Amino acid sequence: MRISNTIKISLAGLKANKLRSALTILGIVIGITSIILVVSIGNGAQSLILGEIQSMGSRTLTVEPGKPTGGFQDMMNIFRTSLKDKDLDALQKKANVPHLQDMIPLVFTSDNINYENQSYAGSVLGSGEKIFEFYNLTPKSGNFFTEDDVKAKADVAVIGSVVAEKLFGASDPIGQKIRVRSKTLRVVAVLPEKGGGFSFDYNKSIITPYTTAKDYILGQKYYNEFIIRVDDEKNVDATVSDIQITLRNSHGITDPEKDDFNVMTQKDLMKTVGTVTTVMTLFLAMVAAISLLVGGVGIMNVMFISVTERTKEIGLRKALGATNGDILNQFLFEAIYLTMVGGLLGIFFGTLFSYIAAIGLSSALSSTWKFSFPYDAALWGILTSVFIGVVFGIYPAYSASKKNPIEALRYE
Amino acid sequence: MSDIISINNLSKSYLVDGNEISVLRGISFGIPAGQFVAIMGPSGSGKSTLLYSLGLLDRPTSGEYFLDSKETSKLDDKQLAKIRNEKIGFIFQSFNLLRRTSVYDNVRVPLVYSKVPEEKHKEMVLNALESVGLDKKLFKKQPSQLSGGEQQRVAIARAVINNPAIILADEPTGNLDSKSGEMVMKVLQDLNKKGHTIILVTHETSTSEYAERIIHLLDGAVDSDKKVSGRRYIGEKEYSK
Repeated sequence: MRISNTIKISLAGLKANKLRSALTILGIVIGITSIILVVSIGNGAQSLILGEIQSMGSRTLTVEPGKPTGGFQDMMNIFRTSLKDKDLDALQKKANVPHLQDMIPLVFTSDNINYENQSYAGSVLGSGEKIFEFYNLTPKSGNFFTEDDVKAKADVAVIGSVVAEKLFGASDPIGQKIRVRSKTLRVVAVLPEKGGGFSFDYNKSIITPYTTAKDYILGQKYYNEFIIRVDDEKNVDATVSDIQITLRNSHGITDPEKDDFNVMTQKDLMKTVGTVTTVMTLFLAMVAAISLLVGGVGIMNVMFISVTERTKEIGLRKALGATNGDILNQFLFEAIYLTMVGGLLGIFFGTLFSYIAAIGLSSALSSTWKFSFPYDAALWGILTSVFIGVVFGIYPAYSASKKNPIEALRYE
Repeated sequence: MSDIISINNLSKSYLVDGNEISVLRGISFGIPAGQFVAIMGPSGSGKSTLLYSLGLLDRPTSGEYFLDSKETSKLDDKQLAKIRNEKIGFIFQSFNLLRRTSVYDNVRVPLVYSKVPEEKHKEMVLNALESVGLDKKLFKKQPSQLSGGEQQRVAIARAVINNPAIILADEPTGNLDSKSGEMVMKVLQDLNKKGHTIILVTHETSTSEYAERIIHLLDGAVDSDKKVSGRRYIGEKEYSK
């Protein structure tokens, strides 16, 4: 018997029970939809984060306190206190790190930013003056603080657009005094509004010289991070090892296993972020896949009902010349067809929803969230749904093919 | 002419709750090609089991069954399905038409399982409908839109579409009023005239008299086997709509 005929018979069988067929595939539709959605959003997030890292430039290194862990970063690292002033001085010596072009020390915290009776919970970033050039920023109004301000531990702050709007509304913030903890700061510039993304949302931050932030606001003796730029891309690897040697000397470490700091290149960072987002995406996709399993069991259940209902038809077809294989194929195709249509609908809805999500996320994050059709997930979705059709359809189909034709014909 | 069907000491028993129940006990007979045979007997006499055994839907427990001089007990499921498809046409008491399926697609079912190319199907279906005295225009209708007599004739058209040598009919008039029943018997007699061997299971004496030979079963064995004297024929005159 030709496959085309088997398919026709299977389709006719499904058409006879449209509502039931539709309800049956719902589980598969939901499963595939969620997988597509999760994978598409996961890919979008990954490319957004990677894009941000990339925009930092391949000459950029970051030094963080704490033990390098590889893979997932130890979140406790931000509480480590191992990066101190002496490290900053040591790293800036040409003899130690010859290819260091410039260096931005960072301290950060979250706290209330106050103006008169207004208060806004934002981020406080203490940084070197190079941060503005590093993020390619020009002031919307006012002037950024300078190297001299950093040296003088000046009481100045550059504020983000959201902070400006929340605290000052329509009035001009330049020259106004804001308070963070017990420290009063003069607003010298407002940052332009820009897409925040994931790494650092400066719309909701204020930036002060790191000297001011470290000594007067936070009162801490350590840094949270150093951003270091290398003079040339080809010197990145050499610089990483220069930094490691310098910091080991400074900290009296002889065994690299005992490092209390971590130097990350852009490549390392991208690898870490890539691993984290891929693992997250896979995990979520697997959770979504559970509904596929449930959907498969539903298919099996309905196929058994269908086989029982059509016992007489099975007997008749056998009497008219159908082989056991013909009957098996007929019911197996029904199951596969159900799951495949479910898979295709799932891909359609998954794509639609992730497209809508991409638009929504773009405006929510005020950045360009790229929608990408997850070809691999779609392909896997189709293959998985066909596979589910086979796995959960084969047993009912087999039981149909093995029915005794005489008993089947007598079945009422 | 050699017998198209020849059975020798055919027995069939079932295991029911561990007890062996003998349904057929050593039946032997031959049926020459082109004969119209009625199998009669009270319920439980084994006549349906015999019919389905002859139709290769059931394997006998012991004994031999030669169809077209070919022993069938050694054939596998695929070969049996092929023989059922090509050489045997089944007609049932309850018609067994597929619901929500057009007359055309119902009649066509045996072709789907055959090697007949698809482009020939339509012509063959229409010819089959014609041969059972049905209007060709009915082919788009659903079985539920037809009368019982028409439904049974659709079922006969399905049985004969592959031009099988043997037609097996299990109480074909059992669900019909007497007039529709007569129409169906007329169709069967016409098919018989065209050379089809017909084996009919019935418990109605009047129906059995359309056959030329009646085999009586009792408790799974042949009780009597005789020619019908005064066979009934239905002329064109009685056969009208």
